[in-house]
Amino acid sequence: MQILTRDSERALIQDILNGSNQAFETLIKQHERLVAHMVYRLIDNVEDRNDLCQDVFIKVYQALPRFRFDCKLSTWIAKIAYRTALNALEKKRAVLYTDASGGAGLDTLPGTLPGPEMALEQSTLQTQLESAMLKLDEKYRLPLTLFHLEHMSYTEIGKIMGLPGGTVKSHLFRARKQLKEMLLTEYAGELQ
Amino acid sequence: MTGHLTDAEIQAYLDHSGTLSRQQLLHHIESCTACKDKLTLYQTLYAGLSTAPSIQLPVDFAEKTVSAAMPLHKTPPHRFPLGEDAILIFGLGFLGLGVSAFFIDWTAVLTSLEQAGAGLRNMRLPQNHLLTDMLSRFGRSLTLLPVAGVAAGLIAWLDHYLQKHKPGHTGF
Repeated sequence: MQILTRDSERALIQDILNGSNQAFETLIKQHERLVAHMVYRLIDNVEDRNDLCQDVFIKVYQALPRFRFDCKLSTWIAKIAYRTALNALEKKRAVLYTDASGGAGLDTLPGTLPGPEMALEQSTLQTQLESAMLKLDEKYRLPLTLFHLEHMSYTEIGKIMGLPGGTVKSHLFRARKQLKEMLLTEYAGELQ
Repeated sequence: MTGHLTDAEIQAYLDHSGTLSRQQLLHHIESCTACKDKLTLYQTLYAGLSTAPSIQLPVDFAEKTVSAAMPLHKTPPHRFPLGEDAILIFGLGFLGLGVSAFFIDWTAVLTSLEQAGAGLRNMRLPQNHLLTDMLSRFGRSLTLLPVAGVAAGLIAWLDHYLQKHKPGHTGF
């Protein structure tokens, strides 16, 4: 993501408010990686991800006249992405709950569990990590992404998630410890 | 330093948020294999976490998103500083004033109004020739309508041209 100064952020937003769709396209290109990282980290369904990323930017466009520059534009956009993804998760959970009352959900079907062949294919650290990440609680996944991929501070992450910086730090520490233990347990031979 | 390094201490060191200095850490792991292994494991973990997962957004994602968002705001909040409607109204107003100043005999109008006022004061209906005169002027002014139409068209075209060639605007 290209780093924007406050002045260039203001100019970009003013252009969008003046009706420039090129300026809006620039804003999307500058922040699509951030939004995609967040949405991909929180939403498992591949088909839903791109639609949700688009929803985030439409919401950003609608809310842009109300942006008051009280935080960085990227933090504000990330906050919208976080809320949008959480809402989508809540809706999905409601559907899953309704489905579960009529029988076993997809997650409980034995055939969908990864077999030994699949585990062998997932030999790189990245794949192992991705698998381990999916087992983490959602509140731990997002801070890891924002801290390590977007290089945000505890405070910035806290602003996005509505948490104190200290809580974010604690989430991060617990998440990494859990990941380390998961990797040690499952793939000790390869990592050591 | 006594005992082993905790997970929190190692993470805080790697996050640059702890109190443990590099010298202290190096000194400790020189003689402690368990902590050295733990540090290596965390360094591997950090490297993995800092590697971006594959993001598969379509190449035309931004373009499609702009198209999806555009119908929501067909009319931008501001175009010209004064707004295009204001410019059009001012333009037509000035045109009307110019045309009226050039073509209309204001002295005759004022005289007619004075006569009408005198007629009212004397409680008599306005004289017939006044009505005829006013209708005649109104009829003459109708011939100016095509001129006004052309002028309004020119102003609208100029506005459209300026908008089209404004940097960053492709017309939504």
